Amino acid sequence: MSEQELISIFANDAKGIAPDTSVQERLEYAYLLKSTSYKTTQNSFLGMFTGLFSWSDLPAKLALASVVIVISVMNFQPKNEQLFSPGVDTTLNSVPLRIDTAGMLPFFGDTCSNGQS
Amino acid sequence: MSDEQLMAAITAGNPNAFAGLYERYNKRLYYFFLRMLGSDTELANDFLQDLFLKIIQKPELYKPHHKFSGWVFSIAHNMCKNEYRNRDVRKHFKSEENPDQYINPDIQENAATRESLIAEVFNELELMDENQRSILILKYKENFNLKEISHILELPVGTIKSRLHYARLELSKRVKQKETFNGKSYGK
Repeated sequence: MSEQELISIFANDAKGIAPDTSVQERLEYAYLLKSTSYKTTQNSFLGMFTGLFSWSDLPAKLALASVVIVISVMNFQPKNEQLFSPGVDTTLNSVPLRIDTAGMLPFFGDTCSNGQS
Repeated sequence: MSDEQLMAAITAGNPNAFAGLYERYNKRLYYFFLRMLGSDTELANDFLQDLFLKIIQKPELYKPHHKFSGWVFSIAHNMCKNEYRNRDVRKHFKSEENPDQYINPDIQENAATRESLIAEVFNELELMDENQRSILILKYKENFNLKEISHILELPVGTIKSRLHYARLELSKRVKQKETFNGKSYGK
């Protein structure tokens, strides 16, 4: 049998055949259910958390975590308790390296320490 | 819209995408199952439904860089293979002959003869090995090229080529034998 003959035979075979229409109905219903579930989850954080706590893309996640840690270490500013001075007009000045506003020139805002008055 | 775009829309949950894809492939896949599963319409319907359910439930299995038609037929082929494995039906043969020697030069295009030839060919096709059958259908019904068939069946192109040759040969021999046995020739 030649190739052309086979092509022609296959082309003429079972021309009008079609699957049962109930198959399509069942499949469309199954797809409807599935696409409904897409809608309920599309705005949730489920996908994000699933991705975050899975083993996938582990190197990328580790690299990101390392960058965050490095930046945190570089920005570390220890609080020196000695630099905290009790203020006159405030109970505690928590801003390091800054003296109490009462001593600031030229205003001498705080009257308690104003020696000119 | 291409098949691949429709598949992406299905993955995204687009309500109209599935109907479009089903419309394109239902008859082709149904024919494939029908011919691969011994013309059992009920089984072909079940297999078609199972295949599309797989697409609905796990659309992420499809990788966008693959051609959709090849991917879907490879699933269909694997489903048939599993079915055959369950049935445990296997036949093997080897031959060095040329299938073209069985060409009937006087073949007439009369409708009744043609129909009877088609019926004969497909009766014989059903008796053949499932690998040969799938190659013949993919090649002559679906018009896939050898490379595409090799992707679908996960076999080297050379193997596909030789299997196709043997499948044609086997089919030609079977039809010829049937003609001789019945004392008739479809061409005369």
